[in-house]
Amino acid sequence: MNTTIYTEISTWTPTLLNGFGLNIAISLVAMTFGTIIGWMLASGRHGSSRCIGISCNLATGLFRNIPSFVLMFYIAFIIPIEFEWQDHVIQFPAWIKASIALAVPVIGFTSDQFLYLRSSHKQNNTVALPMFFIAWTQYLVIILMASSTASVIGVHEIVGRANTAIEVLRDPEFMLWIYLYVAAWFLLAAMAINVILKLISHRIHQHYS
Amino acid sequence: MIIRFSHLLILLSYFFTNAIALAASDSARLDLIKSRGAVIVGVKNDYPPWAYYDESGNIVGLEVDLAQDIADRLGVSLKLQAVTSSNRISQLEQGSIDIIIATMGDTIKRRQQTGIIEPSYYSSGATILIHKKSPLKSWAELYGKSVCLTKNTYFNRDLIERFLLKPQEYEGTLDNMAALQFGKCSGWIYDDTALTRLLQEPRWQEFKAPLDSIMLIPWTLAVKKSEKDSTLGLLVSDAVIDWHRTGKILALEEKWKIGESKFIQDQNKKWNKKDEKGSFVCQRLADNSLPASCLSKKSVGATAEIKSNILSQWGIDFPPAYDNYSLHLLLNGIYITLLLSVVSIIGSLLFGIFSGIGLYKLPAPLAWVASRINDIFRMTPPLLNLYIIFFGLGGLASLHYGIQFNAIVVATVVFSLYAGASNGALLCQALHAAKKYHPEDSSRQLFASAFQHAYEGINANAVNIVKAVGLASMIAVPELISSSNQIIAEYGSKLEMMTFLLVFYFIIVYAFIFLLNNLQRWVGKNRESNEELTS
Repeated sequence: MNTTIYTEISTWTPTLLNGFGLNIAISLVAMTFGTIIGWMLASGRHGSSRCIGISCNLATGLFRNIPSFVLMFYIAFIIPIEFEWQDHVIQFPAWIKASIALAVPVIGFTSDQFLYLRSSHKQNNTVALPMFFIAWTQYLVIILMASSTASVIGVHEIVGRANTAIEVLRDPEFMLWIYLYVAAWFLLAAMAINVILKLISHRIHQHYS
Repeated sequence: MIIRFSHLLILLSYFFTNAIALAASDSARLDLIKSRGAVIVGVKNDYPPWAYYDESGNIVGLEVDLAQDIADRLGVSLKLQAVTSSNRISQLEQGSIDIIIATMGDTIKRRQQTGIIEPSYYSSGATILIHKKSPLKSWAELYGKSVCLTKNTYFNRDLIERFLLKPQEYEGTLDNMAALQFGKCSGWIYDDTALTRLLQEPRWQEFKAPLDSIMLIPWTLAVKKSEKDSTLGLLVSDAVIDWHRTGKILALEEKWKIGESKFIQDQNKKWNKKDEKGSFVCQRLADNSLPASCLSKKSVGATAEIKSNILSQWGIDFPPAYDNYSLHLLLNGIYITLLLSVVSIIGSLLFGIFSGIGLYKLPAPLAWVASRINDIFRMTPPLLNLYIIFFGLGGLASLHYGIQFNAIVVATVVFSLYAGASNGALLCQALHAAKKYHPEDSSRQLFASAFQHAYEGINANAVNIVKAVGLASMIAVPELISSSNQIIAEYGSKLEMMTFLLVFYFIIVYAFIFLLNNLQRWVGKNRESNEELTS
């Protein structure tokens, strides 16, 4: 890597990191809403009404198996950019569309996890809650990786910004390095989450043994 | 005036059957043109080389030549009136012009507003002008990117919606050129007829237009809506047919240095084709209509009859149901998607076994290094890995060594490594666990029980591959998302294609889950029966 590429990357770093903040925001929004709806579905599956139970089971299966990437395209194409409602123009920014698309697999995942959590809670399995927490955090890493696909529907997250930088500089060598640099940020974030997880699960093991 | 009238009658009887000539008086407009002694044609004045002001202030161009031909056929003189895209139809319907020849595209909306003449006389589409250094190889790579557009171009809105562009709309050529040069946008999407002409100018030598035109739209002449089926409408329509037969437009393309377009070449062949009896395949039928097969694809699309099929009864426009070309695209997309899924799953299993055993068998420091390398594949987004290998490494390889990377191979490798790295980590864990509980087992037995234990996770990774193969559309692999987007770009049936895509993926993911679960049961049974045999 020569010095010009090094300086270019450092000048672009603040822009890229702001973009990465958007990746993290999208992931957290998707995880939060996905978890809430997933919890509701799990309650329904476990509930007394058979009819609700079946429909919640079906919904979980549906959400679990739809690829978020395809769904992202679907939502981006079908929901308009803005629409009028009682004389107000309501904006529908792309990052919200991306969050919705990414929340869908989270719903499927957490619905299953909550169901499992409930059944193990009944068997007095004390490790179940920490295990749930670990699985949830690992899923957050998966969603963070998937948030990069938001660039294809026009969200200006880190990959989208890297693409802008590439357009501006038009240097094939720079293109390789900036993509690698962006990948390094994802790797770093994932590893940081994993290290924290390891520390916590170590604590939990000590606590319960 | 009398001389002109008889002249016209001779012309009419020459071009039409007697039945139509007898009905000559059905066109009030034609009567007006005859009594006026001139036909007023609305043309543009700012669209070289179609119609523009020359140095002496006269409007000249290819469309002006066509207008002159119509005047000659009518036996009257030609009067030009400059029109714009926004006022041409209202001027025609109000009666201030007789005919529009002004780079007008054939759209369903315009068919409702005015008398669109079939067949279409020209065709244009959108293409993209990019810097010579740009790696862009397909339209799919533009998803979500910033693109320069010229304000008020008919395809802008569609383009933005179909490619989810972040548009920067500029007024004219110079603004777009500056924006391109400062890297404000990936490229400038504009009418292909205009861009090919620009590329001939020396100041545009830094740029290229490598992609095939999309959103093709046929250009048509128009008369007042009430005149469409009158003698005037038929006369204009027959003039267009005659232009295609005689190659007049091909000659005009040469005269105005546009270069022969494929559309015009195809039209020339189509209208000259004869059946075994020696009569033209494409000619006016007894009811004055033209055979649907002789009209251009978009015109056919606009006339509902050919679209009528089971789905269209409910207002569903699913192009593969009525169009062979898009059906072929779709089937090919499904084939590539399935192929990519199956090959990547096999690849991820092989890489998983290799890295799993490697991580387990290697001495501690080496295993640590190998494990971190494994993490890189696991903890970086597959989309970014596709970009790194295909655009990053692929770009350098083609620049320095002239090697072109195959997109399908790149996608297979990326997906195999992504899921394979997870499989490897799972297998390694399972091997350690198996060793702990059955320390006396042979390595073959260890591996078998570890694989059995890790199977659920490996299964989930395989399903994840199927969900992720759509990402390959971003590096121009012609899989299902690419082909659906291509169909959307040509036919505009967004909702239908996207819903199909979603349903298809849902079914295919379930099918893979079903298959993989059964595979486990089948393998499990085989193993049990083998164990029974050996014990």
